[in-house]
Amino acid sequence: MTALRWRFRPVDTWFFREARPHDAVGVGQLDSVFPPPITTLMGAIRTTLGDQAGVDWHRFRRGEAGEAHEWLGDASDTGALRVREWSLRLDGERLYPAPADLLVETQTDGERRLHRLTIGDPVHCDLGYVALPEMPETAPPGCKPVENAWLTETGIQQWAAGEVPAVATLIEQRDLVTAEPRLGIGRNNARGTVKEGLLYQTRHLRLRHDRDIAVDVVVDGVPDALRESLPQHTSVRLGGEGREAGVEIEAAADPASGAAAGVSGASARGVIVMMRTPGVFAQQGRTHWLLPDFQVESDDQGWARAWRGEIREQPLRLVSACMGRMLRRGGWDQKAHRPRTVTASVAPGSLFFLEPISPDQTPQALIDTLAEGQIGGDAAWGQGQYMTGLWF
Amino acid sequence: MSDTDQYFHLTLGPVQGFVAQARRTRDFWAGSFLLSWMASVAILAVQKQGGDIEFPIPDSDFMKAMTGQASPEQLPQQGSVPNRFKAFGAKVGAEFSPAEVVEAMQEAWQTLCDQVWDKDLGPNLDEDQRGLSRSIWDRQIQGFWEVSWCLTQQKEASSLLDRRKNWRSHVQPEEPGVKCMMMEGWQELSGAERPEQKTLDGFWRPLRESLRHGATDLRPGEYLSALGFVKRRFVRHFRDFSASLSNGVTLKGWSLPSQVPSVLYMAAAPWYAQALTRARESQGVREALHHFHDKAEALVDFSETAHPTRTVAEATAALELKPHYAGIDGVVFHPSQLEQGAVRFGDAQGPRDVLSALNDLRRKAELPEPSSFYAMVIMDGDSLGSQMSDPDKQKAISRGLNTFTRTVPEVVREHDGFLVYAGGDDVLAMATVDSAVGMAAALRKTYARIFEEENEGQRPGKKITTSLSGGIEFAHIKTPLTFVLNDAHDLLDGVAKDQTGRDSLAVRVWKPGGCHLQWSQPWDHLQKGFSESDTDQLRDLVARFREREAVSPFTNRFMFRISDLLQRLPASFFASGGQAEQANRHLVSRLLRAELKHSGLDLAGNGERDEEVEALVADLLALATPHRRRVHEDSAQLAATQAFNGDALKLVRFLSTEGMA
Repeated sequence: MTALRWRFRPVDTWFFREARPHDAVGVGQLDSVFPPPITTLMGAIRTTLGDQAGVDWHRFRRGEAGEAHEWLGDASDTGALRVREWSLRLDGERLYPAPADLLVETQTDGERRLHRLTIGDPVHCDLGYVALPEMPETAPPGCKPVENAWLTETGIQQWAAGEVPAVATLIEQRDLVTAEPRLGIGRNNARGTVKEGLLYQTRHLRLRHDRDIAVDVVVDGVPDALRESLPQHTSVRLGGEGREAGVEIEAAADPASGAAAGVSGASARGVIVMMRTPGVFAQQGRTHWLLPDFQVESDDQGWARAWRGEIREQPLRLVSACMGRMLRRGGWDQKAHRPRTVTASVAPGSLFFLEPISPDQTPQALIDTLAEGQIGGDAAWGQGQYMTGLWF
Repeated sequence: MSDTDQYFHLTLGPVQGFVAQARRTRDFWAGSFLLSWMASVAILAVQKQGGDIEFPIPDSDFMKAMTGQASPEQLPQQGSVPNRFKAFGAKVGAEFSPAEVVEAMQEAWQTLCDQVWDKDLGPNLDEDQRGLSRSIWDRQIQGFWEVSWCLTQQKEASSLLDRRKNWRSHVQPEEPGVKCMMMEGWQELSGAERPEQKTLDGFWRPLRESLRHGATDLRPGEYLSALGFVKRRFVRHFRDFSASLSNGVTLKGWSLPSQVPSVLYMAAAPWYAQALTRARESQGVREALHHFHDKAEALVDFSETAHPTRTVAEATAALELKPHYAGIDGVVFHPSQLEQGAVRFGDAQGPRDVLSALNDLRRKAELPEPSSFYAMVIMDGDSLGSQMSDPDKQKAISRGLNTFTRTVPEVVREHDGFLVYAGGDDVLAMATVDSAVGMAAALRKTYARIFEEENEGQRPGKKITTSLSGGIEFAHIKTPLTFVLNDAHDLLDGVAKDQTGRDSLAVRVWKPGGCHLQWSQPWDHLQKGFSESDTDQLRDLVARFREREAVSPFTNRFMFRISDLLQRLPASFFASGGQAEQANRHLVSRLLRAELKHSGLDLAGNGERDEEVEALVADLLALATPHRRRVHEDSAQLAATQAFNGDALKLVRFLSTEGMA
């Protein structure tokens, strides 16, 4: 079964609303999140597939379209569909979330340089006696964490090899989109009138017109017969206000690997697992920042020193992590006509610094074994996808 | 240092996630106050274990008030409550227990929230509803705060909390259902699954009607989470608050005014001060003012009474009016609000009468419509973090910041502002369009003077090198407050500090359609030629434009034509360098001069006026040529960039036409 690549481009503006209600009183303004949430993108894909398959949506909503429901899924279940990849594209090139250890320095002449945090000596803190990330000696005061940014393929390869990426490989959100304030009204469709008091403001996303910016979703599980009948070009309504998006659909090639390929890891201390998509992790049933099934290692005085667990059956010791605030996403459940539950996930770009436990494991071998993969919950939604880099 | 000494560092958050999530200026103030209060609980818990807070020096009045030991005149009031303890360092003993500090903070927070529940929610909900709402309440109250700490034996370790922040581990709870209108992503307290007005009103209307004190605390159609509800309502019950914590500390509340100036009031304050002043001079204006007061009083209350701006308070006193007339609800000054009639006020005739009286007052006092813009001023010290690791500088820095924090309230009051918080090197204040730039300049001057004095006691090589950068957001009253607050931080960090090189001022103007302009300059460039006076290039130029405008209106036409002209010039026009660039700049100067002469400016053809035009053009170009501050081996130099920022012209126009001074 061949995977299909769906490439979304805006026709006008886009709007993917934050987790706050439209405001019925006073002044309110809703911002858009970026990039589009996978639930929204999959909703558009499912609608296109269902339309093409001739699904009766009224029956579908009533739960009477059994077979179609099984493979199309719904807002909480992807059915037979699987998100294999989900990424931003700039001028045809795939972008990767900026790793959380990147710092940007703005020099006095306005030029910028990137630096990487290093893992320092252990510190007694509320996490335990653990090695916290710290500024490298080469980074001057005033360096700031890189936020809302991506790296190009070249940049992520440099990072994965343990190098500091060139600043030219850093793509910031402002390089891709600008905010465009809009004023909206509530409509009484039955009477064709404006609803009193429902004036609201939104800030739409205007993607830069001089660059080719797209969002790719690679989906497995589309029935063969349907795949053959899908158009190569179509359009969909996407996001909070049903904004138009142009879509190209084509067979997907195997994704290029961002992992450190062909780089010697002989002197590496370990590997870094970087989350490419949000990580849905839990410990004892509760959302957590820690990799699933990793267990704490404590010293005699009860201070946590590290966490031990396995990825792809490789025993590993988690020595440090570098991550921004957890991502909180909600949205709107179109089928149930109610807000989705806001849940937390480990943000893309978050890093886990892992040491081999067995002397037989070399970092180079670990890189080859771990490579790219998936960890944690919601795998079918493309969550928890990771790549690896060398940790020197 | 003894062998057993340790150093404890604590930080509390989310700061922006709590403070800046606000629907009213009062929410904003409440978030800032509660953050200070929580951190003060932590300080008391450290002191209870024998710890000695080293940075920053705690405010003695605030700490006394926390335990009920402050005299009435020492009680921290609005505008002088600093949000200073979002991070601190303390010297503690070998047996010190960080867990006890965190427990004390959670216990105090829980007790304060319980008081709000017991007074406002518990008695007013039926049994079925109470269970659901209480489960939401407990989940949110218990899961909100992120407290991080580090413990070390190294006295000079000053970056531990920064290191800890690189590993964000706090997980906030899952939140289903309809979300709060104030706190993004938190469920509102009715527990409704869908945003159906009938269901929501069924919970919130009876609750709103049953609240004692503060009838306007919840507006119809407004639904809040536990966190939003506590921010909105704790002030009503804080006077009666008392809590005995497990660590033996007894906390006491005190009376806090529940009134904070609205953005509507701040926007109209300069206009109101002018109207009051003119009423002193004219019987007709005075009669129109009294009529306006009568009509306004019938429609609204005096919700701004606690914190009128200084000039309004003084003008009210000079007119021998009762002080509460200085604090009439800001809504009555804005036709755009009054025209909403029954939708906003529940009655159409009242707002119509006020609007009519307002228009009559305007005509008699010969005043334009009040401005729809207010200002948010944000200031932050430069380069202090890197120097805190030097033990020889720590005490002087702590002392300097303590002095600065104590001085800020008076500077803000003097400049017609309302202080939201002042802590360490951070200041956030609301201001009027007229006073914002002057306030920022005065704060920078005060900060510089304080550290100059501190440096007198420092050895060579141990001098503290610091300055104060500022950002001013001029925002339309319809611009959401949370957006303005978040954008203010971006303006300060991204433009004043990174782009302009620190020790700088950055300005943005937000109109309802979006960002109208962005402009920045280093303070030293702004104050070039004005170091001995109480103004700067920007304010001086605005004052001169206003003077000219009063004689012959020209500003609008001139600015539009010039902006249009500059937009048509190629981007490389000012970037050619050398003689070509000089020639191009000269050409622009000539064009500006020609446009100024054709814009309606009354020049009367004499040489004196020609000189005035030359000076206006030269100063406009100086403001519109972006400068960047560059530091090399402890000395800063200013360099003009090869560009021209037309937004400088827009800024002069905005301040000339929106201000009243």
